[in-house]
Amino acid sequence: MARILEKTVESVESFLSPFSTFYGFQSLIQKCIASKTKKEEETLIGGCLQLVKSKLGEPSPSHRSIINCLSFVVFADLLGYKAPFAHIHAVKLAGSTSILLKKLGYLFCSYLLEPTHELSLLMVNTILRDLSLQSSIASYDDSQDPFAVAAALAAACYLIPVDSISTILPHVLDKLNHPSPFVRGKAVSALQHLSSQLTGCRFFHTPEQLSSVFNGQPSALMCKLVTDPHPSVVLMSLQFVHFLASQLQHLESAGNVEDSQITVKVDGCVESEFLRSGDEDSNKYDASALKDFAPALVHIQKQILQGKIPEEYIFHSVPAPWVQISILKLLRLLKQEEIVANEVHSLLIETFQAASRKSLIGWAIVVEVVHTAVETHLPESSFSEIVDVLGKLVIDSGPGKDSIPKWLSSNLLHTSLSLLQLLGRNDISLVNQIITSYDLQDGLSGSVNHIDPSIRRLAVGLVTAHGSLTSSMKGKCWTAEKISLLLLEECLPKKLHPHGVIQPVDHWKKECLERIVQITSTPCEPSEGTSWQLAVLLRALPLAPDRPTAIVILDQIQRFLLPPREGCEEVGADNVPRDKVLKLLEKHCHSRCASSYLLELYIWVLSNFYYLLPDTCPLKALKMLTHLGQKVVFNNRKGNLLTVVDVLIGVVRGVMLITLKKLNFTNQKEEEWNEARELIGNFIRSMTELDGTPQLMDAYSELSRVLPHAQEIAHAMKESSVGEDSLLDFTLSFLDPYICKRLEGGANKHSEACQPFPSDCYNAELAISVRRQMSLGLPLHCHPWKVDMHVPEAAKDDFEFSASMSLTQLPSSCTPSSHGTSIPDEFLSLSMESQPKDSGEKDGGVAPMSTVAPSKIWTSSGRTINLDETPASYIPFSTFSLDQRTHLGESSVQPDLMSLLLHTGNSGVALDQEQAQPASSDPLDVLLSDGLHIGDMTT
Amino acid sequence: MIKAILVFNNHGKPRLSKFYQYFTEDMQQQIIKETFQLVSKRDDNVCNFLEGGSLIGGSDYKLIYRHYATLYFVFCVDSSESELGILDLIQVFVETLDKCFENVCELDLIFHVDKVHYILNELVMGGMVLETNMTEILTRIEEQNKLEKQEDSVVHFNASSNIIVAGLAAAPARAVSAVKNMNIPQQIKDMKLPDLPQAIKDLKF
Repeated sequence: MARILEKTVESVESFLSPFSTFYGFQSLIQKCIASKTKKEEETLIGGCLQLVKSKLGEPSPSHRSIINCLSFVVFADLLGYKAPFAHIHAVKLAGSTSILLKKLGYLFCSYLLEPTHELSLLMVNTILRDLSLQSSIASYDDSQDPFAVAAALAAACYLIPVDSISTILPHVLDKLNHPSPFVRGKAVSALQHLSSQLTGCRFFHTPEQLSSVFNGQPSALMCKLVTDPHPSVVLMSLQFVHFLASQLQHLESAGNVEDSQITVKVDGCVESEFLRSGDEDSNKYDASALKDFAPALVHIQKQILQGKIPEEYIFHSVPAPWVQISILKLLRLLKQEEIVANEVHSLLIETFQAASRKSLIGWAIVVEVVHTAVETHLPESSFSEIVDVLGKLVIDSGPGKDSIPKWLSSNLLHTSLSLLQLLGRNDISLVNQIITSYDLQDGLSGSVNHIDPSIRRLAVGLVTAHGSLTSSMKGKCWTAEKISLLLLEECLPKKLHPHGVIQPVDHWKKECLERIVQITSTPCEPSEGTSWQLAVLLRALPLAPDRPTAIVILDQIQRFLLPPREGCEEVGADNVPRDKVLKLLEKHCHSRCASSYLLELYIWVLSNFYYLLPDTCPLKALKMLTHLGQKVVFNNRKGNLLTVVDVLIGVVRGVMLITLKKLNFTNQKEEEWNEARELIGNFIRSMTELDGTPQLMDAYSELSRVLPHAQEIAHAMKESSVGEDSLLDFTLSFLDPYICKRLEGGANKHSEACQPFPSDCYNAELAISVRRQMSLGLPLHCHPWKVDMHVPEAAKDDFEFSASMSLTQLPSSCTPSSHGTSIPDEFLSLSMESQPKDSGEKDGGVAPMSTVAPSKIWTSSGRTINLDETPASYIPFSTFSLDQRTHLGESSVQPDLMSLLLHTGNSGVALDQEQAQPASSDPLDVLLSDGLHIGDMTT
Repeated sequence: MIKAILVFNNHGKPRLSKFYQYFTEDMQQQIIKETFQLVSKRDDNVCNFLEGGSLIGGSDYKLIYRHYATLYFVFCVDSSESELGILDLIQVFVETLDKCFENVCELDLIFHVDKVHYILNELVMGGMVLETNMTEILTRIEEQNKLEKQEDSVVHFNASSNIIVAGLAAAPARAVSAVKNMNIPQQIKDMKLPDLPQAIKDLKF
């Protein structure tokens, strides 16, 4: 009785199960969808999966119940809830005799199972059975149901593990001859998928299959597929050939065609390559194996253009659009002979003219035509029509035009701009010829302000390329100044909503700022002046997302402000923009919050052009600088010092510059000098309280060492007729890579016991004269570039070379004459060269070579960061542009060391006062009155 | 090549996903989430192409999407695929769904997951575009529907005692008929009752 009751309850439960009916299944799904929280969803779906489990666990559930259950399992799987208990039911369903259930089984299996799943092996057998049952019949007839075969082929794309491919592949190849195009198309797709699973696009098959299916010639089959009477099979075949061609191109471009050939043999099957060169013994892939397809493709495309295609394949009045797209994509991948190339070119023009401009798919064909034309080097004369059409599309799809729906216009605009950019990269004159038209400029203006950042970027790229060519063009919409301002706007936060602000991403900001520098560096006519460049760069500087970008902008500004070395006699003429910049920066940097990059610039301008400020003597400038430095130190004593390290280094450099070059020691009163010394001393003391970075420590220790000898250095510089605009680089950092290279080559380290001493006697390629009366050695005449080090025999094992030490710790025993240097006997020559130039001159003096890791040596001196940059260059406040910086060991003709120590600004752009624009329209004046409104202040 | 087809609603809930490149299941979930993050914050007036998310291949792949009512249809493709062509393909897919389900809605994708996959398999297979002719696709779906109806009626006929059509309302009647079919009198006869005296003996007080 209990059993009866149990059975009754079970059957009632089964009847009541929501999965028994479609409506019950629907209501369950709706409940799950309506759940408001994740927890609720988890509980509901968990409960439903339990119901599914019990339903599937029944002895003989109805098919409808199984379908409902598996549909629910798919739904749960989509949301991330797994139900592995259902997998076996899907596999069982696939093995069903009913075609409907078999299809459903394949569908659920391909969704729920992975090729690596343990049940996949069962599926391989099922697929194999379905495919082989069909192929066992000698000839196909209509009675065979293509649905089951098609379902098996579709499942083969998802469920076949790599090691079972060889088993399945012959059956798939067999299906390429199926009478139904429906099956043939799926067979090609399965073939492509299986081949993509194999390394290097190789096929595995038995020799019998090879001979029977390919007739010994694999490419013959491909030709047969491509020329299939049914367009859908042709489409699949073309995509398959494209896949093979791209694989080959990838292998060729990687240059490892031979390396990529991995011989794999599976289950004793003979491996063979699909694409092999004609030579049977050759083990190389031959990309030209596919070139024979080009004439066939041209032929097919011509037929399509002539309308020889069934009507049902005309889509939006475009005949077989996807076949056309596939042919065009394939043509640009295949290597073509010249005759075929000419045919292709005429075909491209024909296709372009025939492509409908009224539908999306028509434009898709146009896009492919342009890409293929560029890749196949279509003659330039043929591009003008394409460029005109694209230009018109930019105008028509720009903002504010109602002729095209909004969603479509953005896509077409994006496409046309990217194509114009592609053509511009190929030949800028092409784009230039149409971009000068006012209509297109109008369209581009809209695109530059488009809501879509990718469209903005494309438009800005086009405009910039154009602007750099015609920066001095007056009276046109696009001038370099306008383009720069547009770029500048791109770097500013955008207010899109009343309460929302979108910050531009850093890489885009960087790109825009680099473009600004590029535009401003374009030579312009003297009559234009350089005010707008300075105004734009000053606004751009605080927006720099990182230091390298800021340095590029800083360099550019410094180039504009520095006086020309030669050719401009009127010193006063340069002072107008300098004066404005100094005032502007002073106004900005004395506010509560200032950009650190602008602060750096201000320090540089102040230390160089302090005389432009009213009643400012060098001592006052020194006071201003040290006061500013102390203020920065005080404000950042508890914060992150890293943000102001460069500012402080700048202050140190400025102080050093004024102390050594601007203070007139001869006429300076003693008390003023004492005051200056006290100012600097206070500043150094405030800095020593901080835990600075190695560069900062380097800088202020250098300053503290130079300070006692400032008068001597200033005197030496005066005698050596150093220009006013030159800077001293006391760090000798430009020697770093050279020294490292030598140390790595086996040169010995420096020790305290010995003092490096330069000489021009022993294989001397670097000669330094040292003035006797100076307690600090300053190299004045240095000549080319191979450094010989001298070290006592006793201490040579501990020798270490330090560039800054050579300046400050020259041996007092050395008494150099005016130009010649007498070398004490106890010093022996140690050549830094691995082979001394004249080894016969001195023998036995070469110290033993030892391999020294550079990092070990340089950590103590705090130069490790410089060493990371190869080649090292002295970055802060260099007076020459990036490309002019000194790179050691790269050029055969090395510059004079003195010119490296005393950097001279020689690339500044002259600013002519007479030719400068009137003050009222000067962008610098505008900036001066409005101020620098910068969002992101850092200091 | 198409790498994945994703359909999710405005809240990021997936309604359909098909990956043509192997990803683990966890990764698939992550990709869906990331793609939703990328696509959902885009304005309706911006273009429908963007770089793929970091999980699915980054800048080597493109995401091409359309937003229809509550659903996003996203195709992840490699760089060789035509952007405008795929946009058109999405349109074909949606139009086919619309014709097949008569004003397709979000729930249709869940309730008829099998049919949706059939349509998708006719459109794209193994990452390649198989057929873009809507009429052709609909013809094939119709053929399958016919087949389904034929087989369904056979199944219905053979398993008349099972529930195929009836809903919850018919359940009690069916339960009664099932109980009738059990032949209860015979069942009672067949019952083997325990030997009572022995059972009484075994009782322990």
